[in-house]
Amino acid sequence: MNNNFSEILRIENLFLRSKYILKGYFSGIHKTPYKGFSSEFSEYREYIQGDDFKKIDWKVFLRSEKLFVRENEGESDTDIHVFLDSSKSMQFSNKFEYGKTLLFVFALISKRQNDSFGYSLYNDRIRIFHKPSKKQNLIFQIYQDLEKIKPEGETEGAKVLQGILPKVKKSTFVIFITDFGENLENIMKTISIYKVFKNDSIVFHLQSKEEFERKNFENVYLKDMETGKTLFLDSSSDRLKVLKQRNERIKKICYENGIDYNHIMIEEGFEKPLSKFFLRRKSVFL
Amino acid sequence: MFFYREYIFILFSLLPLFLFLLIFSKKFKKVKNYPYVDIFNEEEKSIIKKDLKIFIYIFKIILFLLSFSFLILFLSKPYIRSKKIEFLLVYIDNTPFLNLKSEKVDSIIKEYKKGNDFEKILIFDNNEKVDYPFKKEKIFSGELLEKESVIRNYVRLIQKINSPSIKTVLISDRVYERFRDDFDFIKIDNDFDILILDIFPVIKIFSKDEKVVSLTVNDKQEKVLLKKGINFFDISFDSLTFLKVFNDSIKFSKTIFLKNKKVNNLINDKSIKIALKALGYETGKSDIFISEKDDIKKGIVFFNEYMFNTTLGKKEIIFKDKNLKEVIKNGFDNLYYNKISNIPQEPLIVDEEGNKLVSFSDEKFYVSLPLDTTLSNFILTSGFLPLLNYMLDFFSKKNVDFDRTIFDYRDEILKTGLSFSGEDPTLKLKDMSKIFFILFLIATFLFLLV
Repeated sequence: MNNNFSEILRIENLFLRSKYILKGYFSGIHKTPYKGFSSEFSEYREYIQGDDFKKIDWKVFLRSEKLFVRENEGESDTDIHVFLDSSKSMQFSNKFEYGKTLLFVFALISKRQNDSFGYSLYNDRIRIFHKPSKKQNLIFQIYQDLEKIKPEGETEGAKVLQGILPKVKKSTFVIFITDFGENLENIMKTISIYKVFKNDSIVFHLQSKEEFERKNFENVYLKDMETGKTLFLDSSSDRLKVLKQRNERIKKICYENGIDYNHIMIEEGFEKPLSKFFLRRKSVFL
Repeated sequence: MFFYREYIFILFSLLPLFLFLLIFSKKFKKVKNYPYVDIFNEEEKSIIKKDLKIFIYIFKIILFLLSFSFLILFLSKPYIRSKKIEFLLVYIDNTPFLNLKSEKVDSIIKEYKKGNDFEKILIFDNNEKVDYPFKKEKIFSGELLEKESVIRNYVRLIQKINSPSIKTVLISDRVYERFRDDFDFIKIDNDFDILILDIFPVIKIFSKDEKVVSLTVNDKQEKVLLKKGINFFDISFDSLTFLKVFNDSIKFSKTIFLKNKKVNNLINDKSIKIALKALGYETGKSDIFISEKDDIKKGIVFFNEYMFNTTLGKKEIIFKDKNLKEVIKNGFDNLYYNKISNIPQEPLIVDEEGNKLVSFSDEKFYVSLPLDTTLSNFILTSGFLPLLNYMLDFFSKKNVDFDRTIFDYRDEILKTGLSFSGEDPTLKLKDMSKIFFILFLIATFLFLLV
């Protein structure tokens, strides 16, 4: 699958688009995505309230008169929560479309692996919050939510994500899809807090090649898409260097805090960055 | 410091322009949307210290103000006191007989330099700039322009130089008394042996000494005696294309008709015809009429409606026009008449009883004496021919049409001692605007650089 993002975007339906990506991706690495319920025995544990009755091993109950639940490998529940930045800056070069697709891809994977999937869309407030669940109609609900939402408002991820933190379970996968269009110190501090709560934090940093074009930085007024603030950039200093330095800082902070940092140039499409990511995290997602 | 231009006015006229540029300057630049521009502010803080940035900002404001101030000062044309006068402008009215040598101009400038120092010396030959100091000897002589246009060009040049510290000198061989203003005028007085001063109504020739010279009119040449001073010669020719007296000559580009020798004679009288022929007039189509009715525009009216006059005999004639008396002399002494018309116009010749014999209105002579010899002997008197000549001459000379500029000029160049000086002393100032212009460029360059 060598299609880049702009070609994939021609598939208007988000569901079909995501399936297309997944199909291509999984066929590319020659591994079946349909692992589903594993029959491979892992361990017994005592029944606790709330466990699915189907999981109770009745034979053991008859022998021991105690309720034991049979757990198989790959069946252990994993919560995946995706936070998608839906501020105005994400509109630049269709980063938001990319983010939406990425979120939906994760939703489909979760469903196939029987994981709980939650998602949040935010800008300077929480626009959509859906706690992780395995509901049958979850995919349809996500589809509906993502279809109607448009990127708008300023980014205040640091404040908003801190507000959501108490609602997110510990030891879950938290995936941040953002362009970091806000104060870097604050947002990195917040993402780091998620890691402290034993969450496996994954960051997808979306950028476009257009952001790096030299003509953007010489004798032009750059207008902030969110605030409308303008900044005159003369040709006196190397703005590209500034951008690259910022990316290096994000990467460094993520590395120092054990956050999985994934930088994506959206023009690259999905195959290359996702392959790279999934290969690294195959123990979790495959 | 003295501002030649009203700097407050310049300030107020420039200020809205500057404000306009400031307000709309962003709109003149390309504006591009970008996801998050504070990236650059954030990062630059780490590159440039905050204090330094404030310093640069203040420096930029100072440079802007300086640039603006220098521009105003430059446009205000500031002057400071100096030991020198900024300009000495020598303007030469380049006429045909000027014959002004560059040495003479040099000596005039040296005279001026004795009193004052000048930053720059400008010499203009009419409107053409002449390099000074002179590289080679030059004689200024040229085409004759009207005085009004010379003064107009001269004033325009002064306005173009536009300096409050300028000494202006006009050099000419003509008279500029009526243009007397705040400039020095030097009248060049040349020597002439012979000079033709005018051709009409009489030929006027100036001679330095008494001498016999040849006078050439058209093709005819004759010897004439010129007395010292101005000599007058009556015109004995009807047209003129070339005139030469000794070494002075005038050639006219087109023939000048000095007299109109055609008369439209409406009276079929033998005596009139003979008289016209004797005076050299031809009968034919002309605007000069001789008629017995008062329905002509210009000419002589002999009245044929006579009133009966009881008195018959010799009358004493009283003249009202001195020239006419001179012309006719006593030619009317033998005049006898018994009938006379009553003419209302300005009387020229009246008898002692108050009868108007000849009178004049705008373009018409009225003669009340009868042509009929049975009623008077008017056409037989010796005064008739001179009177007719006088009247026709009056009309024919008026038709002369030629450009008098050259003769006015020739008349003026003989007048001497008409130089004059400007009354107000010239200010000694130095123009500083160039310095402020350079400062403006430097400040603007630095402003753009920072």
